[in-house]
Amino acid sequence: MIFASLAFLLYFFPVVFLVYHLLFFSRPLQNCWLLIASLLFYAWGEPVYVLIMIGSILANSLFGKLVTGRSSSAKRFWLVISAIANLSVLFVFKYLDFVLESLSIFGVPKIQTGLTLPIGISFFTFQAISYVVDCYRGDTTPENPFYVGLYIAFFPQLIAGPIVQFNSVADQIRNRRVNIDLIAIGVCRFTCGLAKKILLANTFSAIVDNIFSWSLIGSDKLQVPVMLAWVGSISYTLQIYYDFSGYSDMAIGLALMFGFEYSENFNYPYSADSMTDFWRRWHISLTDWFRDYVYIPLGGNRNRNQDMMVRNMFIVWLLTGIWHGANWTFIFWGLANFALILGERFIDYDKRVRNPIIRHVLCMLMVNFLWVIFRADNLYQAGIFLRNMLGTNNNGFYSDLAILYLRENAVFFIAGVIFAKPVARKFNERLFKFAGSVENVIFSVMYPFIMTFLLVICVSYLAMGTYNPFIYFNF
Amino acid sequence: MKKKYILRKKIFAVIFFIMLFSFSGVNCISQRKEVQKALTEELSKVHAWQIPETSNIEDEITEELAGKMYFIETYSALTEVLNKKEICNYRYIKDETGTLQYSSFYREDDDNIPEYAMRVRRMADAVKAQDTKVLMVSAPAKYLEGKTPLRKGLPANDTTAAVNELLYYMNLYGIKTLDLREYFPNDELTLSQTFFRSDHHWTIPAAYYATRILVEKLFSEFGENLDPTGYYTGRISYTPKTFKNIMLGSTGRNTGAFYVGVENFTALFPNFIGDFRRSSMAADGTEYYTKGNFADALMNIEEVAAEDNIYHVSPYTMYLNELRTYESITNKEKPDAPSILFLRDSYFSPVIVFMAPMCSQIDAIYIMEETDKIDIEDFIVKNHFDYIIVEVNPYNIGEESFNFFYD
Repeated sequence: MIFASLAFLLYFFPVVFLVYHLLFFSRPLQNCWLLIASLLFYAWGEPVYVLIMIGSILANSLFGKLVTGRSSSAKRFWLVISAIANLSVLFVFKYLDFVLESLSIFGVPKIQTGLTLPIGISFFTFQAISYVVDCYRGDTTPENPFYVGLYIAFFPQLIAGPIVQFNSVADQIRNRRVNIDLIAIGVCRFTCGLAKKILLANTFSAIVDNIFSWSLIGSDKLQVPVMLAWVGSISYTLQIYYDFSGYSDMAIGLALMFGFEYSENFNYPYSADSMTDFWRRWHISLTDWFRDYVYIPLGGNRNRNQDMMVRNMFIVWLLTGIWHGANWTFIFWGLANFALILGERFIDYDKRVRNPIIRHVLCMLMVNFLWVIFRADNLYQAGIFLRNMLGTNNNGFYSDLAILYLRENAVFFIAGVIFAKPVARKFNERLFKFAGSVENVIFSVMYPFIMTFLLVICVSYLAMGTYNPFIYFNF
Repeated sequence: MKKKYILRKKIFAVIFFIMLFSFSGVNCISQRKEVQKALTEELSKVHAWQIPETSNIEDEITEELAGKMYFIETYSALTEVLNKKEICNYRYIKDETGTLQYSSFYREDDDNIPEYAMRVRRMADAVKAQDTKVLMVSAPAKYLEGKTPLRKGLPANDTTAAVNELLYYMNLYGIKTLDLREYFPNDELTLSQTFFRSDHHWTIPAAYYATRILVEKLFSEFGENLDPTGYYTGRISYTPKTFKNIMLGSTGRNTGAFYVGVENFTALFPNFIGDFRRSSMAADGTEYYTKGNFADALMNIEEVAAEDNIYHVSPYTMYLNELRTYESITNKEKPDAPSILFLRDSYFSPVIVFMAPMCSQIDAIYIMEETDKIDIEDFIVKNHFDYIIVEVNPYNIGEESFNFFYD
């Protein structure tokens, strides 16, 4: 089940919300209800693999106990076992077929297990590891399996994050507060996320999927001129942001409605002025996870030996690429990010390039090119598409279709570009600053209407059965 | 300030929950049966301990959404306000006359077109001993290259090449063909009068014009003069009647009336009485039987005229209830006239009606329907017809339209 669906909006969410708040008298009952609902939520889309999730919950609950209250060596032993167990499950379902296929290049007989990827396995595996490591470190005490289950399987963040570290929600599981203010903020956040996903992300995705598929047909049958290729790449740059951040907004909004306060997952990444800055703003929960559970344990920046620092960065970015999917494109993409970020350090980028416009444009160009690699089905398609963008594929420059796409979706492109910048934040800050102003009053009156309009439009799009892809199948 | 900030969010939250819970409640009641049916169906496919497939249930929820047409019209209105020439992610595009066209960025070549022509050839060979003559008719596509005004860049589904190839191979294999693209638009009918804006079909006047062309072709090609006096193909045999603002075709129902507009529907009513027997069968095997004059036996006037919900029934069903798997029409007034078997799609429903007064017997099979009720090859071989006419709408050129006389 996905948030942007009628089944979720009309059936699942109202029932879960209503029953949850009717159980206001008992936190344990509320938590139990959320766990049951979350398992049902997952089972709706993964009727078989929900057992893997339940297995993961039980196993990691046990590991959480085994890594506490013992000798260091015993704790470390169980920590390693838990990491191996979690990562093995992830490896088998997500990477095994990819590895086997890659080995076939070296003459190893090609065997494919045919296993399908359980939705969200990358997210909940990382959360499970986070729980065990936090117990090991003493950042938290082991919890009962129900609460561990609630942490791992909680439906708002289950399928597409944010990746919540256990230490940040441990207290909230037992002691969170729910009030009307939080619910109201959550509702608005959820609605904004829904609009981002349905109105913007889905619009761009229809463009992207067409243009990327045409790049594979062959330029002798169907050309993708330079203009069209750039429309495709920019559309994807916008799609992935609005899809992912929209989903995060919905997750954060839903969590708030149940009293959980999550950290932000995006901070206007397309305002970044360097790759380093970009990754402080994009998928923050993932970079935090890798920082806290991989980079810092490896030594982080504190090595006097710069080689070790580079090694640590390399490992993190290699793993980041691998985490995103079982394909050489993701590995290449991860390592390309590593190279750019390392390069920025080595050349002292912040001092050498000071002009903010140039910095921003260069950053966006790099991000855009890397998203092409990220989106491509394989490195060959990535290469073809990049050549199309550069006009080196005998593909010409001008494209009627590109003009058509821009004209037909002008409003969406304009909104997409504007709201990718912190316009809403600056507007809110201005309203705060001029509290009693006329524009504040007008906006306050208009706000409920605008949001209601957005909600109705989103439901209309869903009723229409418009294109509504789910892009997290890789994760 | 924080109070105002939260207050406007609280107001929206109240609206949100009122709308959500009330709409959810309405849907629980209105779509309960359909969703339960879908759930039962899926549960019957799995063991007790398994969770059923849910995609069909979700589809049912979307399909049976309460007030769905209002949401479709909201989407339609937004698309129109944004002045978009495409809708539903290029499922349809709008040409400069406001007509909805099918869209296709890229048409993959169909390598089986020669085989389709060969199947018709095999059928012709199978009925040759009975002296049955075969004619292949290509209905005009809604998008006609060079004739349909379309904004530059809009990706129309252009079937020109596919139709040209099909007709080429038909002719190569000795099958007589009639390319109706050549006849539209014409002096009597502009392009806008030939096709509905909101439906994939042609108009009834266009179907009648095509009937005249077909009769002329049967005469010129096979010497068969179905209408010696010119009565049934002349304008005097039918009276047009226009029903205002009742037509929202299939494509229009998918996109919303706001986007394409509701149309008038011009029907042709006979100026003669006629005496017909009609038996037909739907895809599920349900049989129907009507008899009487032209209007009673062949037309479905009351249901269409009485319908005030433009989303419910298309007026196109006025002729032969638009489309049933099998039709058999006997003209009691002309027992000696030729008999024709049509292998057809929905385009030819009105044509069959207009042909009926000139023939003794017309049978029609909807060739795209997958049904075990009729074995097309067996039917053709066992029943004698003077003519077999294969009609395909260009958008339907494919395996499903030629599912007979395989090698």
